[in-house]
Amino acid sequence: VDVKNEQQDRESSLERLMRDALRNQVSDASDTGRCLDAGTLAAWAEQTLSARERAAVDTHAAGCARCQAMLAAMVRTTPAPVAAPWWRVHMMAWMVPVSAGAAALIVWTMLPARTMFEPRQAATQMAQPPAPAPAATPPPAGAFADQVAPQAKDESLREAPRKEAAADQTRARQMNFRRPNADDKKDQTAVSSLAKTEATPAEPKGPAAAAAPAPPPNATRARRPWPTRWRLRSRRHHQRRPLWRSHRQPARLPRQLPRCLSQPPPRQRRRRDRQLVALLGRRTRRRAESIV
Amino acid sequence: VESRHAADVELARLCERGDESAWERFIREYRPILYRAAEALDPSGGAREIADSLYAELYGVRGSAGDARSLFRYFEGRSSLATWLRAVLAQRFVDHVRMRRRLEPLPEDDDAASGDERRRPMSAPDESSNVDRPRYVALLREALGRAIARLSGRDRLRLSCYYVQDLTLAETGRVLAEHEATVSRQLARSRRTLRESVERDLRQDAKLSETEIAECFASVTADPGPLDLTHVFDVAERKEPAAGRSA
Repeated sequence: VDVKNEQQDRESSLERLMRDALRNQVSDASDTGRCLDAGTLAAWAEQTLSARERAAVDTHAAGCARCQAMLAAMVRTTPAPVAAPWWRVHMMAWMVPVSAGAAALIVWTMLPARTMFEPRQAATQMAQPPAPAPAATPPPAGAFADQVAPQAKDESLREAPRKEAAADQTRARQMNFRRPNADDKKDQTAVSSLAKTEATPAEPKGPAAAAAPAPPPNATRARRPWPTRWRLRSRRHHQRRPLWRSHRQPARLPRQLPRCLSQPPPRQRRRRDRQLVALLGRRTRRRAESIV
Repeated sequence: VESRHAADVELARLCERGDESAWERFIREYRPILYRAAEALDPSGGAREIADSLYAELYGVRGSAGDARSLFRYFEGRSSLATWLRAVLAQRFVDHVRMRRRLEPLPEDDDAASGDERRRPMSAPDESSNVDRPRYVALLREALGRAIARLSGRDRLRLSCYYVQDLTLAETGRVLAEHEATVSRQLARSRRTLRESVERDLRQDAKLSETEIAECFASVTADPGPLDLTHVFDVAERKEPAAGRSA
C-alpha cells in the first residue's frame, strides 16, 4: 500500500509539471501553413474524414498548439449529444441479445426434426428390393377357382380392409403429416398399378385371362411407396423423444455422408423390411378390394 | 460533394452571388447557430463580436481589383454549413486569442522583480534547508520533457487536451473518438509510463540514488509553483456558465 501511495504521489508531482512540459513540446506550426483549414476541421467534427485523414489530423495536432486549441474550441461548440433515457439504454443493452436468443430457441424447438433418412437417400438405399412380399406376388392361376366365392363371403372380405383404411387415414390426419408431394403421387400411382396387377386375376375373365403372365416385378421396383411410410414412421419416432434430445438423432447428419455411414443398422433394416412387406400387402390388398 | 450537403452548397453559392432571399434564409437559420457557438467559446461576449464580424467576410470583402471575395467560396460541402461556420468561428477565435497574448505588454523591470517575488513559493519553509531543490526540479523537468517526447502522438494529444486545453474527460474523448472511461484509463496509463520513464532517466542518466529521486519528487510537491491567476480566472469563467446551465 505504501509503495502504491508513493507511486501516486509521484504521479501527482509530475501532473504539476505536465502543463509546462506539454506546452514546451508543441510548436507553433501556424507559420508553416500546414494547420487545419476550416473544411477539414468541420469534416473532422462530423467524423466524415477517412481513417488516414483522421490519423494525419491527430498526428499534426499532437505537435501543433494552434490546432490543439482549434480542436478544443470545436469540441466546446459542439452541442452535447442527447443522452438516451436510462431505461432505453439499459434495457436495449440486454434486450437485443435476449430477444435474439429467445427467437432462435423458439425456431429451433418449433421446427420438426429432420427425418432420419431423406426420401432420396432411402430410395437409393432401397434400390436393392427386399424379399418379395408374399401378398404382392401374383397368386397362381390355378388358385383362381377357389377365390370365386359366394356373395356373402365376398362382402365380408371387402368390409374389413375398408375399416382398416379409414382407421389409417384418421391416424394420419391426427399426426398432421406433411402435404402430399410429387413423391406421394408417385407412390399412389405405384400402389394403384400394383393393385391393378393384383386385381387383374381376380376378375373372372376365363381361363385365357387367368393364364396370362404376371407383370414383371421390375415394373414396380422403381416406384415403391415405402419411403413415405418410412418417413412417417421416422417422424413419429422423433416425436416420441423429448425435444432436448432430438439433436442427438442421426437426422442431423448431412446428406453427403458416405453410404456405408448412412445405412441403417441391420436390426432397423430388418424391422423396416418387415413393415414394408406388411404395408405392401395391406395396401395392395386394400386397393385390389376397392377396385374390385 | 456529398449529396446530403447539396442544399447547403446551393445556399452557399447563392449567398456568394449575393442573392437576397438566400441571405435572408441564411441569416434566419444560421445566426442562432453562430451565436450559440460564440457563447460556448467565450461567455463574456468576445466571441460574439467575432461572429458578427464574420458576416462581412461571408458577404465578401472588396479586393484590390474591386471584386468581392466571399468566404463562402471555401465551402466545399465536406460537412454541413452549420459545422463549417462553427469551424470558421473557432479558427477566428483561436487566432484572436493567440494574437491578444502576443500583444500583451511585457512586464516592467520592477514588475519583473515583484513577479519574482510572487513566484517564490509561498509555503516554502526555508530555501537554505534544501539547496539542491532547484537542481532537482530542473532535472525532473528535463526528464519529463524527454519522457513526453517518447510518447506516441495520440497519447500526447490526449494529455494536451486534458492538461493544457482543460477539456473534460468526455470532451477529450470526443476529440479522440474514444469513450470517457477509455480516456481515463489511457490517461492513467500515460501517467504511469511517464513516471517510470522519469525514474529510469533520473536513475541512469542523472545517476541519482533512490533517496535523491524521492527528494526530486518531494521538492516538486513542496513547490507550489508560480500562481497564474489568469489561468485560474479563465478556468473559473469557463466552468461558471456550464454550472449555471446545468442548474
